[in-house]
Amino acid sequence: MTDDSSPTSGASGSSGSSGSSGNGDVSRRLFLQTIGISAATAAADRQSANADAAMRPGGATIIGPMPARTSLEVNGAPVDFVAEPATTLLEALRERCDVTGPKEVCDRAACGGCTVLLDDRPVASCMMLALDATGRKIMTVEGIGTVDDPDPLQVAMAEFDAMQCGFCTPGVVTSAKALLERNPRPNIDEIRAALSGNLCRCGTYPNIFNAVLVASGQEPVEEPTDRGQTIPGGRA
Amino acid sequence: MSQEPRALRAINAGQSVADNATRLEGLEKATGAARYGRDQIKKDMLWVRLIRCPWGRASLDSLDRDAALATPGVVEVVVSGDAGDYHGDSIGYVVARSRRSLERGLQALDAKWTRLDCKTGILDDESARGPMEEPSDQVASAIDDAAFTFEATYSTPVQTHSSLETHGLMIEPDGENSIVHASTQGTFVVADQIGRFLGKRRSRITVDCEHIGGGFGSKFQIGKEGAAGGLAAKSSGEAVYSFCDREEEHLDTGNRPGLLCKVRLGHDADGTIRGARFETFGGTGVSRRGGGARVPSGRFEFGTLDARNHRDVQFNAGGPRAMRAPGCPQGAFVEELLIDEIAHRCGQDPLDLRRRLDDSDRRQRMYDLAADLIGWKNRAETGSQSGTMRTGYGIGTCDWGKGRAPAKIEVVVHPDGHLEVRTGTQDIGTGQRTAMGALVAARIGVPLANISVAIGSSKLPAGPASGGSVCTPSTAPAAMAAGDLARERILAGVAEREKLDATTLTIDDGVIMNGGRKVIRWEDACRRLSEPISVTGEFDGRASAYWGEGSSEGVQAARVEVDCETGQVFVRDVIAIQSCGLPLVRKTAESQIMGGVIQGTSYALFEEQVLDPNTGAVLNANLENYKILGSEDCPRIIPVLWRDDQTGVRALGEPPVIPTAAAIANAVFNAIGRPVRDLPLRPDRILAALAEPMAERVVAVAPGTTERETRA
Repeated sequence: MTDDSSPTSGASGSSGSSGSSGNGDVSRRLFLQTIGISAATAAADRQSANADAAMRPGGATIIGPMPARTSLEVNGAPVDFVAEPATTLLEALRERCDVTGPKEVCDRAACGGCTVLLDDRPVASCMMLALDATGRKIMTVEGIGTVDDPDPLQVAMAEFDAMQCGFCTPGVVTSAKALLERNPRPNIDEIRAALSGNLCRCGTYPNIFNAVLVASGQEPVEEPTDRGQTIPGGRA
Repeated sequence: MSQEPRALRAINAGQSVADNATRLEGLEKATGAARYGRDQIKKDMLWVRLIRCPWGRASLDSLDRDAALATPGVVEVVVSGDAGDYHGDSIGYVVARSRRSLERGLQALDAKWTRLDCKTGILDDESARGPMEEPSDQVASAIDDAAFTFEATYSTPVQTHSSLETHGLMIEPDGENSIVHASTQGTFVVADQIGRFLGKRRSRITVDCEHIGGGFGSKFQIGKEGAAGGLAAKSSGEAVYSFCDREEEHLDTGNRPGLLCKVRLGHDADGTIRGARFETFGGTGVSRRGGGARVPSGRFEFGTLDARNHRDVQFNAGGPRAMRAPGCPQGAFVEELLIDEIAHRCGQDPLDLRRRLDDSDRRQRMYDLAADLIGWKNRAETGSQSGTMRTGYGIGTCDWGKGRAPAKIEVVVHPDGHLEVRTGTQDIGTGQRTAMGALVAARIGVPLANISVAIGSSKLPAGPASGGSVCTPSTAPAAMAAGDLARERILAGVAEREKLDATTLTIDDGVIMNGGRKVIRWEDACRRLSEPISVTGEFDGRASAYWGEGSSEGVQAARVEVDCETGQVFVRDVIAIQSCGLPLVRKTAESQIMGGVIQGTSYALFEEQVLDPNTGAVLNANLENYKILGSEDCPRIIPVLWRDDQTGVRALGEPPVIPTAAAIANAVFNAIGRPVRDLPLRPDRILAALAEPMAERVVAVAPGTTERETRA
């Protein structure tokens, strides 16, 4: 998917699907909104009561530009809210559903901080519209486990100190959970590959690998240079 | 779940105060329950965004303030300037009721700029481009006296902190008071700074920063985004959310400045350096200072040295801010590669040359361990390999100072035996929370499970900002003192009731003992309290019994493979040996070391802010074109927590990031036989180096002999 979030100034409007602001700059959000129209058709059936929805002659249902009622299923619970159709799933979760585990980091699918499971598959929630998630099962890190009832993966993450600042951790846990769902005993290369879309700035990858290995019932990585050395330093 | 990476356990077992303690907020972070400043989202709050200059230098021709204000949802447009001196420079801000209305307001504002000529790098400075100045007479004669002269130029790029949580704050009105949820490394700095913009006295402000999504030195001040948020909160009286977006984060929240370093030195055939002159040029963007580099570091003997010759070079880019060991990784890269180049010229093993030039006893022992763990004996002579994949080994070193600041830690003992450790300082991911809890638990003699830690609020006892690696060293003496006070209070009560001598009582794993005899459980002793008792340990920022002895020194060794067809460098293993006085919590300390190595590897291979030399626009102000190391690039890392008989707690955050890039650059030199004197070690640079002749030797090596034999 192309991405056009670079600042543009003064480009005249070319987006016929919107125009609410009387300002037609082709922004990424308008772009998303445009391509979201066809994908949101199914979702739109549920929106028929919405006064802002209208039928285009070609047959596609157009939602917006005014705020539209949106219904999502987040971590097994239904959530209802009214938002502009251009609202991304990430914005909807964080700003409408009070689900702040998924983080807004790059807002263009480069870092994995906003990863959620959509019908059990990991997606960057910053890159899809909330409306396109209608009728689908959305699970965030909060749905994987809680402090009182954590998933074994989350326990292993804490146990192996697979985090420092922790801002990437929800996305990492979510991607790793998806990996374990499709591959219950991943090897270290498979773990590295599955997490290659999740950036961690503090630098905790080796601990993450070990947490995922142990959460899947495997031994943690045997470091290559272990020689049974016990006490370095002057205390020997 | 309690399995450990075996090798780490073996190497670091018994090296810390709390070997098996797990990060206290670990589950909160792993389940998404941890709330950061950026997560403080209210339905009704105002959004703030700065109006920024799109070019390296530009003047504002026009903007349509009325149109912006007429945009539904826009509540305020403040314009305070008409020119920008760098991409991301700000001239005002817009306040709106929603993210979307804010975006529309900025579009409606339709700022039109005229781009002006600009400078975009250190090489725009004439003296940086020109030849070296003559050394002083003393240095010149030292160089003349040496058998050989060596001259080279090194450079490092601009690195951005790239904290995953962007800079900013959320301000919430609370009656007459304000609660400021800040992403900051300095709880009390924010409390001091924000009032001016909020129009409130400090006593009316509470700063909350329970969790912070990275800072790395860039989050000490409230910044423009914080100031604009404060002003908007003042004028509206409403809740305000003012955070940078990702692009702004890369443009205008500081960086590790680039360095250009010219060196001339004289050395003898055995590698002894007789005299040297270093000239450094630091790129400070629009800032007047902050471009300094620590080179030479003082760790190695360079003979007669010229006084520091540093020049900060201004150009049209965002200014630097402290970044994890400011000035040090770039200085270490120059200095350590230089030493390896001298060693090669003289046919010496660079580890042996370091042993001769370095007078730290501790690092001498670390060299042995690093060489053993990395497999230094397998290192081929520099430039001796052929074929596509070539392996190299390299070493780097570090040290760090003993900075300290005043700090207080309060411990509240509850009648149920629960202990509450209270400290206003922040945990930016270093494990500060866990370290304080574990230290108090250890001082008293109770399990960590008895302890909770309240942290990151200006309403809690004051402590330093997380910078200069002073936070843990400064709060640790206060925590030790507080733990001892709490222990003595409880033991005094027990002694009085049981008619025992308090000085003979001890506490072991939550049980109060008298000699070998159990007296009472900690919880039962506390039950006698009619109300919670509070004690406060204080560190005055100077030496005290609790400050103790200790220093932070380190040696790292790297093993790389270089693909000589593609120019790609793969960092395979890094051994990172680090002393930090008395290590507190093994797991978080290992994480700190590993994090330093990973950031250092990322700096060595990938990171580089790119400015368009024509327009001054930053071309990679995002996370897909500004590349940071990911899971598939991550080397295997053995963090070794060094511990000897030191009793004082010392710096750990910064030192491990210093040697990594240097060690990797040396390993690449070893693999391909040519030094790459510019970071990052991009494939094009590796390939360009391979097209050059092999690095020169000035001391003949007889055919068929190894470096070792030559020297003997």
